[in-house]
Amino acid sequence: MTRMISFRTKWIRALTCWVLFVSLSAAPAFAQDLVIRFFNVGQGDAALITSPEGKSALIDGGPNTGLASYDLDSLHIDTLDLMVASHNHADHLGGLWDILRTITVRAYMENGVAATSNAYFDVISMLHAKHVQYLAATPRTIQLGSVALRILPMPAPDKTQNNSSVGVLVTYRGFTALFTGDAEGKERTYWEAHAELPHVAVLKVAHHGSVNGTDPAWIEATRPMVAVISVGAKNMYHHPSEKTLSTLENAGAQVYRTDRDGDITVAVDSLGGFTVRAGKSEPVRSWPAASASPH
Amino acid sequence: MAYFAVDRLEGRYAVLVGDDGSQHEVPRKQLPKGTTESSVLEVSLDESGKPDWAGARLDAAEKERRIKRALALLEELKKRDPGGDIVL
Repeated sequence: MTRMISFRTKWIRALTCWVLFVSLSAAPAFAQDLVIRFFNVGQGDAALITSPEGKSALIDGGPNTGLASYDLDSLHIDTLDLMVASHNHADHLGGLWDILRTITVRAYMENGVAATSNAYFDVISMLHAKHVQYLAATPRTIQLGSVALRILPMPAPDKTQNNSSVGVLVTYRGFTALFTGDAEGKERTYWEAHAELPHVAVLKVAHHGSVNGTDPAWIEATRPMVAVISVGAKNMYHHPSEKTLSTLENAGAQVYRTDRDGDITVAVDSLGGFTVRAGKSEPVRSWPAASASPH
Repeated sequence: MAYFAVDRLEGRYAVLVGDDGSQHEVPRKQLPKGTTESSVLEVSLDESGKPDWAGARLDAAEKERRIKRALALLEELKKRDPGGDIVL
């Protein structure tokens, strides 16, 4: 009898191990790889980077609609290792105050160009009150676990926020993604000359696909395989422009848009290959490691 | 009267943010000549609280005060930056 129980126990244990192994093998790569989520926050930007070690960085918080905060809450995120305001316009900064108020933020980076809105002052006041570590957007590397965030050099101080956007190049095992804020021609031209940009796997298209956020020289310099446009449906600024869309499509970039695709999730595996999932039910498209590496 | 900051210019529109957090897209031609990004406008409100954009007035002194206030706080925050590369 004892021998039978022992045999049954062993069998159950073996079966449990097998089920666990199969479950983990079949699980989406999201659990253990680099994941970049472009949140659908309407007309604005918000993207969450999660390293394989579980470290996280939020680049922009969208407008003050609470959507980015809701998305973080849905993912049960109560700490951000880094928050970046690409620049201090309300469609990028507006949602940050609420996030700063409700969860722990270890470090904050911004462009240092003061805005005159109370919304901006409220954010920096919150940083001060909560003793958040401030990081200037100087050329430097922020190591987020095994993921490196290289901060691009900024041109000479500009009075406009767009051309003072914080540029962030994300690298992980041969994979690269480039965040550009709302950089217009002046800043992008500077980056082309001074930032030693590689060709990238994923490009966050500057300025919601506006005509001043993309040009053929920029796309030639970055040669993205995937271009993500964070933009609101039926926005009154007519973003993205037809010119930007045709420039990207002519260059062979696969274009994803938050207004049509909803949240866009990029999952990068340990070899640098990646998949893109648009929305919740759309099929996932894959790019193998060899094609995802700088080319 | 209420203050509105010009958050940004988007084509023919100016995006204004009120001190109460409200956001307004206003045709630039309705705003005073010389309105740029970061301008601060003093605007009267009607009985229902609707801004009278046609009567808006640029307030350069208020703009200057806000920028100085923000820069002073930024100087304090910058003292927390250890500089160089960072491991999080």
